Amino acid sequence: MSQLGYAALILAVALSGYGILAAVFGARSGRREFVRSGENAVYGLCLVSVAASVVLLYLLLTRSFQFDYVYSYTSRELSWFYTMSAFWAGNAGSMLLWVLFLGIFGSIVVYQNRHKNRELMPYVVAVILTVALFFSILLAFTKGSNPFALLPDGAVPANGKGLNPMLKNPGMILHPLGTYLGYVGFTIPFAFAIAALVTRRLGDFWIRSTRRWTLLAWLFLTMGNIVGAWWAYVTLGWGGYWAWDPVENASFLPWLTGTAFLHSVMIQEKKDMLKVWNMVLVILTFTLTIFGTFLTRSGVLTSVHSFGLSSLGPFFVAFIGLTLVVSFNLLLSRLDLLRSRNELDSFVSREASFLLNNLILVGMAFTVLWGVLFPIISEAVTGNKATVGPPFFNQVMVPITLVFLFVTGICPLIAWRRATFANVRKNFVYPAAFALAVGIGLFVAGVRLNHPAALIAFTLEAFVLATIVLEFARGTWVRRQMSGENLARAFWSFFWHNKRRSGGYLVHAGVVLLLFGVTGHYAYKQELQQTLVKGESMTVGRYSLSFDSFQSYDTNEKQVGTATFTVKQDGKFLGTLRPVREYYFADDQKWTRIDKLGGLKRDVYLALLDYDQNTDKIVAKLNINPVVNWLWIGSLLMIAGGIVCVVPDKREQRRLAARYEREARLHEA
Amino acid sequence: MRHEISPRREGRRSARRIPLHLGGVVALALFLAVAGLPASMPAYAYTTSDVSSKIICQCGCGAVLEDCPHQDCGWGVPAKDLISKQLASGKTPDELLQYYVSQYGQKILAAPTKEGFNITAWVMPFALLIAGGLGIYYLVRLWVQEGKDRERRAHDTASVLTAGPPDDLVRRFNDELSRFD
Repeated sequence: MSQLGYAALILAVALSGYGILAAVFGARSGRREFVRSGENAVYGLCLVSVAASVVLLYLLLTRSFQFDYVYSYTSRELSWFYTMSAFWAGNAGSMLLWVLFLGIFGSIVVYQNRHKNRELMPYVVAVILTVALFFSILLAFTKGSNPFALLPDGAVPANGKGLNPMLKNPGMILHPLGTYLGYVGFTIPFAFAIAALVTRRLGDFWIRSTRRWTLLAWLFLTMGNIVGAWWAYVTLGWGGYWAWDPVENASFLPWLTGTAFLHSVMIQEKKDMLKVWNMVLVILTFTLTIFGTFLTRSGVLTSVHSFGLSSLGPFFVAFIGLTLVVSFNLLLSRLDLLRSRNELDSFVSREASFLLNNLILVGMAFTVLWGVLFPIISEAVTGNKATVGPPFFNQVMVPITLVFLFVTGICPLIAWRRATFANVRKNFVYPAAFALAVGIGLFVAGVRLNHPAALIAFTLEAFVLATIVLEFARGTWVRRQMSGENLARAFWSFFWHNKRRSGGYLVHAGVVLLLFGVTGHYAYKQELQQTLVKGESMTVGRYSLSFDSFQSYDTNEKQVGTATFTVKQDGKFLGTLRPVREYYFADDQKWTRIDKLGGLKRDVYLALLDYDQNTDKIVAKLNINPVVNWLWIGSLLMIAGGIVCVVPDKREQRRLAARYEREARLHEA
Repeated sequence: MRHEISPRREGRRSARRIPLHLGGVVALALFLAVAGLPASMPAYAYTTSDVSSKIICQCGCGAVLEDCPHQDCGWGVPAKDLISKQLASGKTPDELLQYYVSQYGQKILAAPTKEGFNITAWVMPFALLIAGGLGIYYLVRLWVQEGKDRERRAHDTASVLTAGPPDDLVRRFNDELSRFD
């Protein structure tokens, strides 16, 4: 069985290599049969990667401990559910996941474009297969990356090491999948961009053709990041969700540049401008997805997420370098063709505000990248390795995020071309007045000097939310006037007939709510760590938790201790919390399962840090996290908005089909 | 009728406009600086967090000591105890931070110091944003000017086409035509 898996990996290398040569040769020589053969290689890659994945899953589920990967990440006690997540727990599995997703996405792209974009497709195929070739070679030929490698000396252990307890959480099924789907998804717009550069078809056609792919990649990456944050919140037990860990940063980077790309392509679609900039953004975004995989998988930087150290670093560095050199060289050679008719009517216009939006997003990406790389840079320059952790990121990112919030509010409401005074007044007077009232109200309520950034953030969040609500209200009102529909129907018609715009507003509203949760938590969280015996209590602010009882029991795999607390708010019963502490015998690791009482106002979050079975003495950590659940509500809204944007729009499809036809006729002529 | 702007007036307008926009950039820079002030200014008794949020746990997790995910951490738990006891005995957070730097070097600090080469860590993001902001300002100004120039050219062409030939040409044409009679 394992030979089948390894053969599939070798076939993936062969198919990728062949497909690249066939597609490019076919395009250069004008021989369509070779192009088709190259495209078939993508289907082949999909098949062999599915085969390799099925074999790996089979080995994991059948506990074939003679294989190093199975031995390292599973055990007999591991449930089938988490055995699935062992697939991507190590380097080999995650790289196989890359190839699998790339094979599937590539096949969909080839099928979608079987009758269109024929000039671009050979190069699209070549780029997709080049990325697949890189990962397939790593899988098949580098030490420690073959998921089908046997243990030395033919050893067959009775049991495996088991999965890292941190990964035994439903979030760890979704987080890596979402992140990898996002990473791989950005390969598609990148492939089209490179194909457009090679073929010199540099209009907005490649952007329109890949708009949905870009949105999907962004959506998956958003989901991956959010689930990762939620996992950290409910699993790590420290009461937070984002620690500016290098690996978290690595998946945040392509999200930022991808978001900038999603915005700036609108300018190219509307005004035929920023062609070079869009190319730069898509190249950077793709490179950052590889960089993210590199950081997670190379172990080059210390991180709670670096689940395996490996010697893959030099290969990734070489691939990233090659990608940048080839892409930017190609871009520079086409600069004359990418010259846009750069004209703007006014400083106060949607176009100019989008430029500001891009500056902030790329500035944020640079800041995060700079923070990730600074330890390496400082060591190279001074010989001393500086550490760049949360205090740096919090201090630098807070002001930039405030500007980002402001731009999020003004950007969508400024008119294209030139905003008149009337336009500005119409869109901004009421939201600004509302925000001012909120700001003054909060100031009077006591939110001021100890957290100036929080006060500014709350005010700006109110402003942005008001602009969005006003826009929906105005659209609904106009729709109602025109059609005579009732309010709910008019709202729905307005919403659904402008999916792209409505989805965008939902995403913005989600960002605002998310940042509201972050601001409240960051500025006003309270925590207390205390040693307790039965009958004692711990108090933070209005919340008092009394330690009622403690039970523990053993299973084959672990010892589980559970403490029971009664929670009171202002002396009134609020609920019961049962945080759990687990000790895994095989790994000699202790782990926490937090418990919390949630609400829109706050989370009462409790972690059991330690216990003594003999004395029933425990160590508990209590966090009162204000408004933190708005973060998750905002996240869901962002995802919902993203889904609305991805849903096919018939009018847009008709427009696109007409353009395809027109372009094809022009091309034939 | 087209309103002509003399080059001199145009220059004066630009001169007035530039400081206004530059003022915006300066205001943005000031805002960034002010908003970047530490979020909280301690006016209370020191807590363990005042130190544990500023140093990295040395167990290998890479997290700040306060947020180390290993609750029975062999390095973190004794360190938190020590910090708590030292603060209770009257030591300040700065003194404790200096102690840890003397023991482990600067890499134990969760953020680079604001001296020497490390200053670049703090300055670069804002420098890039301000440089980018200025770049965008000049780019947009250039593009707005190009838009205006194009509009003016289009307007001039339209004027010639709609207004017809100048009067002196018409008079000359009529004179020459009358001579043929």
